[in-house]
Amino acid sequence: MLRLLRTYRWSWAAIALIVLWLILSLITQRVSLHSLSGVSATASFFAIAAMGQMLVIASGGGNVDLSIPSVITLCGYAFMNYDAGSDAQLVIAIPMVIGIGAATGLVNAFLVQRLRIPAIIATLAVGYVLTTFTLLLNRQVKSLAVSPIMAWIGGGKIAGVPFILIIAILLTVAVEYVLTRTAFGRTLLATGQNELAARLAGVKVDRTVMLAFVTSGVLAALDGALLAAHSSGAFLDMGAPYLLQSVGAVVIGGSLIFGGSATAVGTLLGSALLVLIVTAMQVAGLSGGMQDVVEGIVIIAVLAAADSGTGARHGGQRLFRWMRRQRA
Amino acid sequence: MVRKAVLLGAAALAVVGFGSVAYADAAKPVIAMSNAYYGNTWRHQMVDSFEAAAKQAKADGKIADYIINNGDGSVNQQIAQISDLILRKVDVIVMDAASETATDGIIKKACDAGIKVIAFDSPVSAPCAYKLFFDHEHMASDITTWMADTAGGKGNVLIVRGVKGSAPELNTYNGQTAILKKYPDLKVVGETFGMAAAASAQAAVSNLLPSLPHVDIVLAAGGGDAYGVVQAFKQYGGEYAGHMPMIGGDNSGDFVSWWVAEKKANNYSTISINPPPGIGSAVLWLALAVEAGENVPNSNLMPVMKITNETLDQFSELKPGEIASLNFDKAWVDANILKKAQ
Repeated sequence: MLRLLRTYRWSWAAIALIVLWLILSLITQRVSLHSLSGVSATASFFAIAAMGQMLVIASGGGNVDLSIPSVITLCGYAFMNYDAGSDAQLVIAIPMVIGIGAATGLVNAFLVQRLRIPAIIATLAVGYVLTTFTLLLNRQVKSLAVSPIMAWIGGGKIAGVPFILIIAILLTVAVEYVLTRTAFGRTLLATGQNELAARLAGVKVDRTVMLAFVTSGVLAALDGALLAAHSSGAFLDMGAPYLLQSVGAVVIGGSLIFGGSATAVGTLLGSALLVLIVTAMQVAGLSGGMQDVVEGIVIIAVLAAADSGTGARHGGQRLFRWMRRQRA
Repeated sequence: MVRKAVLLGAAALAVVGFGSVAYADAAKPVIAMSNAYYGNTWRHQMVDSFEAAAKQAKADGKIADYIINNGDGSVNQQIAQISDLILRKVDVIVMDAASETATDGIIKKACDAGIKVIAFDSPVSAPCAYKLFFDHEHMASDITTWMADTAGGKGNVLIVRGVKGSAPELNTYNGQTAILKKYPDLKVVGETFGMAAAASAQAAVSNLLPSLPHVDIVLAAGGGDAYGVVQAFKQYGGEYAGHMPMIGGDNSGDFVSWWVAEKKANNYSTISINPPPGIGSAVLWLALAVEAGENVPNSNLMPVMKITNETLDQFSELKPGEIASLNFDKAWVDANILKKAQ
């Protein structure tokens, strides 16, 4: 059992998820998966953006993508403007949205890798720039019509299961495959564990990190379009909750905040856990302030546990960074 | 670099200064608007409504000219704007203030220079300024009372609160719960935070809905969350398809156009309320009344705008992203703000 917990770091999130669901069932006095149907759709939207965040974080070096909320909002508006309620327009709207996401990722990577600006500042600044474009697009939205195909993808259900959940699960499987079975996945994790060692081993570090940022931008962009389809409209602060939640989901799921180790399954479960914690507290009738306190404590507890579990490896990493500084 | 910027600034000021030759007409007043913040739809519509009324007044020969200054939300910029307006010797300044207290000094300076100042929308404490503020206090209790009565005083209530920790949010919430206490058969079955934004409200309500008993009334916080609440119930479907709960609206174009369609399809009935951006036009006519030396009280209340099943048809052309509003005219201001007998 303990070995299972250590090998599959996401199993902590899975256990917490089951416990919370049981608590929720106790409060509402009905044991049914139905109570999770609303949560699962919200969690799926978080998971799609968090997958990209996870890849960026996994590349190590303190990398993080804080432009995700702005990309989501901007692409929500771009989608509403270019889709204009017709399926035929998707041919323009979707490449448009993907282009915005990819371009943002490229700019982020350029600032972080070439100009050596810390990702936490560079990506946040890029986010502010995008917000201005959003304000311009905001004044042009003429209708709330969403193309039928996208409306169904964003809000439809198959046998009571939100279609967006199926997408999130498929994405999780794909990302997990990329991480464990492809050259890109292995080089990404190698870069995250020790950039210098990876470079010396002949890994194309710069290209790998750039790809991580671009993937994150594209996933956030598609998430924004889907979210707009789901809400039948784009709204100025639709991306805001994704700033902390995307990082939170990655960490709670069992990926290392320092990079080098990532689990897509964990990120999906972490997204669900974050949403379920808040919902369970609301059903239980806890006050708003109390909800924030509990959410904060959970994240801190998970971070503390994750750090102590991997202390040895990070001791090594710190030593390596110190040696690099000495040389330079 | 700095010197260049100063020179440019001086040049800009000079241009502005020469542009104000028209003010020489002593008989007719010049009305200036200092709007501290221009970053959202409400403020855009407010300024548009002021401009429409000002154009009308200018065409009718009631004013010589008007000036509009929009700021970035900072106190410093508004102080600079008003200082400039004082130097240009305008007759009346109407202002949507950046701060309740930090603008006191500059307002007093304007008053001392013989300029009449009218603060609207955002409160200020300077005693010499005329005031036109919204009647926020009754907003939440009004709408809650109407919904409780219309539901026959019984049913399950879901409260969608606004931005966690904000003072107006707490006022709204207290107003709602105070009314609910008078109806013992209204049961609050859930409470969540929609952050006064459509997407957040949609997610919050969607998460909670499967764990709740049937909801009859939704009290929203206003400010843009109502359409998100609608989407959450629509996507949940099931028992709510064609039988949506009574959702308190926020006058947003998104919500109102949905209401228009739903009323047509299922005879849906509800109520919607919000401070109208049309206050921009009202304050212009009030400024003219002040300038003409009419008997205007120091403190005036601007009614909030209510949309009911009966008045809904007036707003069927509202676009998404817009906020329901009206441009008010002089007769309306006389009757509703100055309470003059017709």
